[in-house]
Amino acid sequence: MSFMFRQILKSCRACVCAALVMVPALVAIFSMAPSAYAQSATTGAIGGTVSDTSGALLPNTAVTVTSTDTGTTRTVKANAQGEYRVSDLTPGSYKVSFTADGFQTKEENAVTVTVGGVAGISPQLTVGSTSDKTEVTGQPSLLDTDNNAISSTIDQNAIDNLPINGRRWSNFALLTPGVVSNSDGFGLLSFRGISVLLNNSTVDGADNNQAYFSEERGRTRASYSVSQSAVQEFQVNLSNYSAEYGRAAGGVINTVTKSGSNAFHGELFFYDRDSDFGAENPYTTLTTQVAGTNTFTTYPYKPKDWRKQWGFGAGGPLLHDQLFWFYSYDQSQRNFPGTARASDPTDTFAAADSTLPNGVTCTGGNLNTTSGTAPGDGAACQEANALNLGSGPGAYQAGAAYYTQGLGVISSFLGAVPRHSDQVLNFPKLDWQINDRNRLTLQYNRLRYSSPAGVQTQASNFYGRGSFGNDFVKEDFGIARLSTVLSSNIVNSLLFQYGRDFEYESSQKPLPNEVPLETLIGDDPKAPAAAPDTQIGYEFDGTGFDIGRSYLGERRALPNERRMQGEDIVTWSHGLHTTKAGIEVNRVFDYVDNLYEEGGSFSYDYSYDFIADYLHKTTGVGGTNYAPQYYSFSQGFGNPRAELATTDYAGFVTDDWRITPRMTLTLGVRYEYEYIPQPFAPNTVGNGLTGAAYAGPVSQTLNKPDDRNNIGPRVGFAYNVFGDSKTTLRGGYGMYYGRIINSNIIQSYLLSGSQNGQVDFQPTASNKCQQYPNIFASAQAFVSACQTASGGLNSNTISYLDKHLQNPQIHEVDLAVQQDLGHQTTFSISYMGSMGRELAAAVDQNVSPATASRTFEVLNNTQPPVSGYTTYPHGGKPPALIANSLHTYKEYTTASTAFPGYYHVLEFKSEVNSSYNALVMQLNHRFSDNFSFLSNFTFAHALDYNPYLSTGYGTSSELLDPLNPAGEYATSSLNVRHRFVAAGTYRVNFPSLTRGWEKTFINGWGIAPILQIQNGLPYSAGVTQSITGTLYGGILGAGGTARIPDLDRDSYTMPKTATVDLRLSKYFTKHIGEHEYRFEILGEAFNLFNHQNITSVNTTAYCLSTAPPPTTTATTGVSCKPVQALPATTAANYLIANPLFGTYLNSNSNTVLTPRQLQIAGRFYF
Amino acid sequence: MCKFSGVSLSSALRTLAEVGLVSVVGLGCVAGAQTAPQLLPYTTKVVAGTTTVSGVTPKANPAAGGNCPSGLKATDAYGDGCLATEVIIGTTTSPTGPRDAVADAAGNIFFGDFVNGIVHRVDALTGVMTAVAGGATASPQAGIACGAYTSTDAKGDGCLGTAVHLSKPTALALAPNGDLYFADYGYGNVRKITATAKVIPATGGVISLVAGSAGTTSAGFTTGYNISNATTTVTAAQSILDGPYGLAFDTPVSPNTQPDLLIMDEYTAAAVALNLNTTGSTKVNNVTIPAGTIWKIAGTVATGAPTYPYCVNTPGTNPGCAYNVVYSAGNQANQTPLRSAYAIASAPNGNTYLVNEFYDTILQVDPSGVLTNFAGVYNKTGSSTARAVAGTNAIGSPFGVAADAYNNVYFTDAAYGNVWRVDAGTKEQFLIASGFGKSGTTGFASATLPGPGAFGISVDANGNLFFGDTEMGTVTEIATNAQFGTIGANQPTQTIDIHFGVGDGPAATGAYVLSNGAGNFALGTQSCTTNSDNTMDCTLPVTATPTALGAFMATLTITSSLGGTNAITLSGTYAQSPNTRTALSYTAPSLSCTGVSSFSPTTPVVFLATITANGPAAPTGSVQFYANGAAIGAPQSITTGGTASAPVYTSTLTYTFSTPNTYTVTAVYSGDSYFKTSTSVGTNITSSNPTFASSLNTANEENAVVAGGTALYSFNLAQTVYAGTITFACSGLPSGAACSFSPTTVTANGCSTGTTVAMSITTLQGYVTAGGFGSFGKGRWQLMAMFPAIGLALLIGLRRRKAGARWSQIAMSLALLVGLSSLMACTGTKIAGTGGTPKGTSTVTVTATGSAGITSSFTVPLTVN
Repeated sequence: MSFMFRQILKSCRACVCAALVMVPALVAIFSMAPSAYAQSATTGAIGGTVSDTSGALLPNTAVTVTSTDTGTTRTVKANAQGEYRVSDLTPGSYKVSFTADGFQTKEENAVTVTVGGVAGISPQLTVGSTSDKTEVTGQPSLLDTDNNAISSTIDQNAIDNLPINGRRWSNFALLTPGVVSNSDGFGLLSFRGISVLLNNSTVDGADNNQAYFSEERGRTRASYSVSQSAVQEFQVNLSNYSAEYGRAAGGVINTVTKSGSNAFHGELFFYDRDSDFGAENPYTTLTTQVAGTNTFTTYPYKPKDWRKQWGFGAGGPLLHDQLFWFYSYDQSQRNFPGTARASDPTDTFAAADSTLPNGVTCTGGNLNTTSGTAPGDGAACQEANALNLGSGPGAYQAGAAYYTQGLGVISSFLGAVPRHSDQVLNFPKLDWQINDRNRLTLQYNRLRYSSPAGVQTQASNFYGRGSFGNDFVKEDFGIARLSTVLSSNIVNSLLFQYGRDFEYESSQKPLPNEVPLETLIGDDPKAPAAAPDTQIGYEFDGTGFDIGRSYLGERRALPNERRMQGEDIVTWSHGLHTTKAGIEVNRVFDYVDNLYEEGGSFSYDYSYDFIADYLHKTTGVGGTNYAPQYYSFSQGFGNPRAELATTDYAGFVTDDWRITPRMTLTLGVRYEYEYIPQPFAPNTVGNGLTGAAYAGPVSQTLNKPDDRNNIGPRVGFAYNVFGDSKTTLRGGYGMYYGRIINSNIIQSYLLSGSQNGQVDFQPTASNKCQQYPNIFASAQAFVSACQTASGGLNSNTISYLDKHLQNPQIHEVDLAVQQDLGHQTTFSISYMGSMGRELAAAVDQNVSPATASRTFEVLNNTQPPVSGYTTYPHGGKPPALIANSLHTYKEYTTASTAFPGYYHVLEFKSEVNSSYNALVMQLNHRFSDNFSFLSNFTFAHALDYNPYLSTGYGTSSELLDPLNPAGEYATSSLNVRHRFVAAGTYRVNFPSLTRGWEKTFINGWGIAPILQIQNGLPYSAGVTQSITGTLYGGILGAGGTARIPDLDRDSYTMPKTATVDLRLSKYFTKHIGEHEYRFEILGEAFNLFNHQNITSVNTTAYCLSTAPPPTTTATTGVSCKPVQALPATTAANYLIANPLFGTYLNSNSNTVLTPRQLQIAGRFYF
Repeated sequence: MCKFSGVSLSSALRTLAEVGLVSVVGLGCVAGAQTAPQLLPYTTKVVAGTTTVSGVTPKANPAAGGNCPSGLKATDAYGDGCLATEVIIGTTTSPTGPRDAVADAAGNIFFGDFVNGIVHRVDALTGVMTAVAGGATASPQAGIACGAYTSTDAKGDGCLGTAVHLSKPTALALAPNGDLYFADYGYGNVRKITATAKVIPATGGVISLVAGSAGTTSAGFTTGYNISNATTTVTAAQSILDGPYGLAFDTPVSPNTQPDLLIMDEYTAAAVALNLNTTGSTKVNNVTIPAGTIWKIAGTVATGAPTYPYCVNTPGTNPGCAYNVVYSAGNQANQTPLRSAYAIASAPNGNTYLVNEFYDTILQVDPSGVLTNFAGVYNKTGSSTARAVAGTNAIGSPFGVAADAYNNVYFTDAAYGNVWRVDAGTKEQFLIASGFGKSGTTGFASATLPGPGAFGISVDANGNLFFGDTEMGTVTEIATNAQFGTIGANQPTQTIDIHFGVGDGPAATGAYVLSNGAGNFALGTQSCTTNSDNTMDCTLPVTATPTALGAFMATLTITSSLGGTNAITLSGTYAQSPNTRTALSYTAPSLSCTGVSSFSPTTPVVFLATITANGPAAPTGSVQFYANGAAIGAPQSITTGGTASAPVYTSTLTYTFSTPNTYTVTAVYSGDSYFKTSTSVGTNITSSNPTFASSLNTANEENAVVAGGTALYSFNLAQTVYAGTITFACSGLPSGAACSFSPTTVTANGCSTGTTVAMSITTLQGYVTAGGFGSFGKGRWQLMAMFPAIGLALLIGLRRRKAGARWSQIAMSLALLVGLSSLMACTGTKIAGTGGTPKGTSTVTVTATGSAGITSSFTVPLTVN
């Protein structure tokens, strides 16, 4: 044992007493404070009023605060009104001493400071000698009467005692009102109906965001980027928070990590979750061939999913009262095979009769019949035609043979996907109390995450087994903070951070049956050979599934982001004021290396089309006159690499002014400026790749936004209504600014149409200038082969930033009343409002006003189930439009002359508003009598004009009608009308039990449930198919979202979701000398009742058709489902109701919502 | 001289006069105003070939021995043995065989199949097509015996025509003695088939070389151009032709007895004439031709290979010799350049007509050799169908020309699908018919069909026109309708079209008088139209009303208002006769398949004999079926079906051939008191034991895969009258591999058919397992149990140790757990597992198994990389 370590151990002995105090304190305090004071991103404070026993205020009382963890001491004097505040205290336990001449010294020995909170201690001193001490251990006030903000702090007790799936502690943010998870399933949070991309995450006050995707660093594939064992607590700022917080239009999640203390403490943990004890998801299905037959069957199954997490967190002193260490090691391994499935297996694997049925003919791919045939007979006939087998019974028979053979190949692309993830976190931290005035903190967080086949994390999805993609994350950040007490009332905090978030993805090794399809990317010899992206079965239901290399390309870096941050904040407590001011610089370097569709992308409408191309490629069947059967082909070219550096400047001043002992007014202002560099790939000469494919320059791609007017005033009040701290009224207003997301900037710059950007070439659908699966080595080769071929090329989509693009602007208003009900219970009712302005939208500028119109007649089918289609047990929506009613919509047919030669021209501009209004009721019980409880109910409505919520590769406008943005006004896609959350803990603890076995086996049991019930997320009634001859297709001809103009956006909601998570635990404690050692074993159930929370529904309400739909039994290859009767008077165009609209497609298939899962764990505290 | 295509006028008249069918009133060879009414070709009908539909591949002709749609038996793969109207002339991909056609006095039609190299004959009575020349894969070489004959040269001359190989037969002409002359464009010669008793029978005759070279090999030919000129006299045997296309005879001038053979050599753009007489010279186009020699009568090529442009004289000095220089009226024809000259005709008045297709004109050469433009406008195309004086309207692409006994000239316009007539009396040019080939379009080139439409044309002695429509693949007749052909009891009505001269028309009274068999016909009501040239056309329905079987005729005397008369012979054959025809077909009702000839020994076959009998009453008697000459079953009665106007007489027999063998089955109608007996063509039936065989489609397989991949194969399962289920299995598969079939089983229905079976061999990929805890399997719970154990040990140990030791123990325990954690991390790498299909090449045996122990196997390679 080294000398150093021996010293460490020795020094720890002295900390035993402190430990004995701290551990039960952690158990006793369960503070999900609905409104804590936004004191600081990393620290809290102790404050209050000193009086004598008569209530007279005592000025100039010396208040000494001593950390029981580290021994650090601070001393301030109460002001003339007897008020005091000791700010910038590291969260933890403190001893507070009050000394005034003529009075006995009074000590509070266990005051807990939480991040952003003010521990209110207002003692009454007794006349006597200062040498006489009175020790009191009391409860601080339930209500924070000084703070106007709405926020919640999830402390370590909550983190430790509530059930937590996969130690993803940030999920607890969902326990706070006004917070919902969005629909993409990755657990991103929306605050007050604001985009999930406009939040801010900090760790110990340092920016913990990845600017490119505008999410928390490390994003969401990894469960967490900071180990739970390293988290002291975190604060969720919901509304009207301090001017200290910025770069957010939504919420701010502020995480504080643990530090070492004079005591040696820590924990070991091991968590095990295994699907063996979990439930089956009926939507996780496999499709396999029935042995000995030519039919395929689809059935649910439960894929393997186990996760092991282990590690430790421990800290202690290196030098007593001076130097402290903390180290957290956290590793998790997960084996969670994914499931690749077809979106519509019924059609994809439709079985064919092996011989042509009687009375049926097969000529030229057309199956003519007046009698029923197997669903796949049409496919077999098409197969015969595609493979040049001729016509007639013999050709059909051979076509059916090859078709069924091909289905076997297709089925090999689906099924279970070996998928793992391995994450290792290391977190060392040093705190050096240099002297009484200076404290230096150095910390480093290192995350390594690798996940073969882990890009797609859903239980099942529509990617082939070889197309999930490998996922890697390397995250490092180091923070240095110097806190200096300049005087008893002035504290300065200087912070510097350097961080890197390197995320990359690669193709999986091709599946064996993809090997014959392998191609190389022309300009990247290092790229592995892989099959091109191949979408199969789009026409079955508008989705299909993909095999081969992802169309997103090899993500060699997306991004490799480096961040440097410097910040300085001064806090000055003076008189009735506590003033804080700070400046901050954040410089982010984003490097991306990724080219959309660089490996080519083929699309097949039907499985038989793909089978023909596959068999021809592999076996040559079809002969030399074979014609490719894919529907479309495209390939991306250009420079995939880009680097862009943004710099965020910010400064703020905020002042808490205690106008009267009951009233605190907070005034603040914050200024932010996001510097965006010049476009690195402007389109000044056209794409220039080839002469023939030339399209002219677009001067707008030189635009560089420069929004300098982001001044955010913030004002609030907190009123202690009756002066007894039992009733508070608080409210406020503030302006907040989000960031212009780096990916939107980079992708817009890249998609300029310039040869230095990225260009996606696509021949017209009739131009089969390439044999599947070949791709082109260069853009020149592509254009040379395809441009002059029949049909030529489609024009390219480009984008640019509006030069007046603004940072998103949010106005927040709130008003809350909170009442202490006694018995450690509070009730509050709050109003929260947000008004979004200058939110971004991607608007197609290449559309000329519509001069034409088209009338559709509504054809309604009977509702499900419909013969021939799989309908799951639940779901389905009635058609919204009246049967046989006529609907006339305008139709765009011509492009703007300002952008000749281009397809969509997307302008990224600020023109969207939003609103959010919520009423929140909360009932909380602070831990007492072995019991704690929190609950809240949110009644909210979010509306907006359809803001742009994507960070991806922009290819089309998100608006239904680019010339009518007002028509987008409707319920937000993030709207959750009702949400109820409840959580509690109960721990069996009978002090009366004295016998050892009774204490051991009766005490220490704990139960902790979490209940979450909410309305489902909204969705729109969509349409499929396009009207040919229009400008961009879609129902209006303008491309954009495919929904019904008559129906409001997001006017449907998915079924409500409900989950119950439960933890049962048992402590075993052992006191050895002055130490307590505790071993805890716990079992957890998530979604205990396995409620089928629907996560995906069929959103296709209608199918557009310019010809009468079929009336016969459904057959493969029918784009629009058949109707049962045509109207008496037929029109030229139809809206054919989809009988499957609203039916459920998936449940419990994301990060937040899962089938029932069970987990057991063991933890050892020392 | 008075000449027309195919048959010399004098010969024809003589023949007709001999049988009393023709009067010579009004006929004359001197051009002038028409004085007597004439019949116009009026009704168009296809007499051979099936009309081609653009974009649709026609059904192939039955193979030799196969059944024709009519139930007749094909004698070769080119449609011979079948009805001429149920076959394609050419091939399925090029059904463009006919180039020209002629008809003999009996109405038999001859035409050349340009694609297959066959000269066909269509029987006037039965409509059955037979080959009279060509069809052999190679010609017997000189000195080689060919049946009862011996070949005299490399092209098989001296043999029967059907024993030789032809290249590209084009135009034909019938000599007065009945010999059939035809040009072979591919071999560059003109040959003839010798008639028997002045008629070419259905089986043809001996073939011999007339002009041009026979070449030195069966398939070769001598190129060049060798005819007489001012310094050298060339006999027919010495001549060399390069591309003979058009053919015609002129009228012999006494004392000569043989007509001259006029040949249009398209390749050298020259018209030549061969004096077929053994003595005495003739004169054609003012060119004197000694007996047996061949001379150029139009065009400019002198000798040797032609040099383009085809002019041997100095350009510019003679307007007739310069390429692209318009000839002038009055030039000698043999000094005038031609281009794309496809056809030639000779009129009774001695004029010669030449097709100058490239320049869109028909040229006329009078007996003095002077050449003038006759129809069309030089180097100008036009689609007008207006009636106008010939030479004023532009036309499209003329490919054929013919002249009738009245010196009227007919020519085809392939570009616009027209058949024109130039009236000898008025020189007016007017449409006879239109809509042939690519009618209505400019130019005849087509993406799918190589030739032009209406091509070479001829007119027979009765004024009927015959031409080949290469684009539609047919031989077409435009009939005057004076001949009714073979009729039954239905007394058909045909319309004749009578053309009256300028200012003329039918007489007010007695315009149409029947005589010499007036009871055989009845006349309807005329309908007349006055043309723009003041001529008149009248249509007159004529109904055949014979009362006695056999040939019938009558004379229709037409009298015009100006006093002109013409005695037209109306004729036909009332075929109510004892002759019958029996056709045989068969089916197997217990099977779902059709068109097969092999059956199992247990499958009943239903034979259907169809008797064609045209008589006053239904045939009686019975039909006896024979197999290999032995009677099978009892004589079967005859059933009458169909309709009253079209009765169908049939007889059936259901028979099972229990002994495997090949049987030739015939049906023999017994005849009755009125009808004669007839025997069907033999039909081959095979009785076979059920079996099947499998054969791998080696051209389309993917037999090399990586482990986990799917190897793809397909094979054909040929079933011979097998009924039952056939299953499939593999053996010899490497470990982890499995095979599957599509269809998984084949249910054979007893037919002889083929089934495509797709076979997949799936291989197994070496699986990958996660290490770390995964390798602990269920033992992970034991690991979980370690935690309380460790904790308990710690607590127990701690209680018994001193404080310093406790801290050491804590530290050690911490290190232990950290180490354990690290161990878990280290073992968390992925381990490539085993169990996949091993690499290497295997030979997999695939076995198809049916009932009764029938199996068929083959092997496929499988390579796993």
